[in-house]
Amino acid sequence: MNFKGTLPTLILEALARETSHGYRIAQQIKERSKGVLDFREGTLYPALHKLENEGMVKSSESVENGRTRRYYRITEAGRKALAKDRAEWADVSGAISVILGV
Amino acid sequence: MSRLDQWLQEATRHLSAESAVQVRSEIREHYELAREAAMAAAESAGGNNTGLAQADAEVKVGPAKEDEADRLVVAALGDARVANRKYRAVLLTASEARMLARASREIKAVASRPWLQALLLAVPITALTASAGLMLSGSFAFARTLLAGGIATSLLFAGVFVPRQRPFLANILRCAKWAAMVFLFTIAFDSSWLMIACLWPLAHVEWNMATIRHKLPIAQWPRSLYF
Repeated sequence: MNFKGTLPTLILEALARETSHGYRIAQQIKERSKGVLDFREGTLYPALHKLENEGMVKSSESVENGRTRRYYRITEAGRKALAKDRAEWADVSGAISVILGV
Repeated sequence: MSRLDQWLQEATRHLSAESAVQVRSEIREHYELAREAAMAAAESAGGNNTGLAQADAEVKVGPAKEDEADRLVVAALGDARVANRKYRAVLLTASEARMLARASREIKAVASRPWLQALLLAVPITALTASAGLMLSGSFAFARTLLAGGIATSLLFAGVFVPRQRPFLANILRCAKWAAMVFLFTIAFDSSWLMIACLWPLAHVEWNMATIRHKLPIAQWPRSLYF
């Protein structure tokens, strides 16, 4: 399913639950949507960089099993943006549901 | 060249060396984890000898061989050209990195020479003071030229004196700079085509600097980005 424009929100939602790395974030989104929200994993990292540039997430490197991994965590600004996105989504999806009668 | 290397080559096209290293590192990390998960799922599915179709659907490899796992994991990354376009929107490109390095070099060169700083401060102040004096004496034509020169040199040299770690102040100064640029070209040229032609290189540089500001967190801004 095409969910263009919502990837940053889904990333913030995944990070609001736990600090995570890119691969885990991608898996979480796919698993939690039961495979409905499928996306090209190569586009996840540009979205993460954009969120980091905007101060929504912060990243840090740590070594796990001898491998360096970059972990991302949500910031306070990110939590506020997520709350705003949630409210907007509730409004929009509610309105569309009323129109479609579902 | 492996599939992943081909994908990375396309995805990092025109990115700066530093950005390309970052992309390669994060995508390789992702690739290794995805491949390990795919192989583990394939082994598990093979061991149980049941639920192959389910495993195939879930991890997109099923009982595939290593090569098949590699193919599917790279395919899951998507079109490398699309990724490249998205990366170029958020990471520094090679040309932006060059522009930033040149600007930083120039500012460092000036900042390390106090006599040069004093000279850079004196030139626009002298031009603006002389312009004010000429205006008072009635020589408007020459005063206008000196005023344009004074504003131009102020804009050129002000970046050296803008304090770092003051993003709010820098925003105000940048707005003042753009207003001064418009004013400068308004007083320097009468014909609009000439004004547009002269504004273009400045506008191009300003656009690039604004793009770079969006791509770097403020904490990483060099002094050249503050103005």
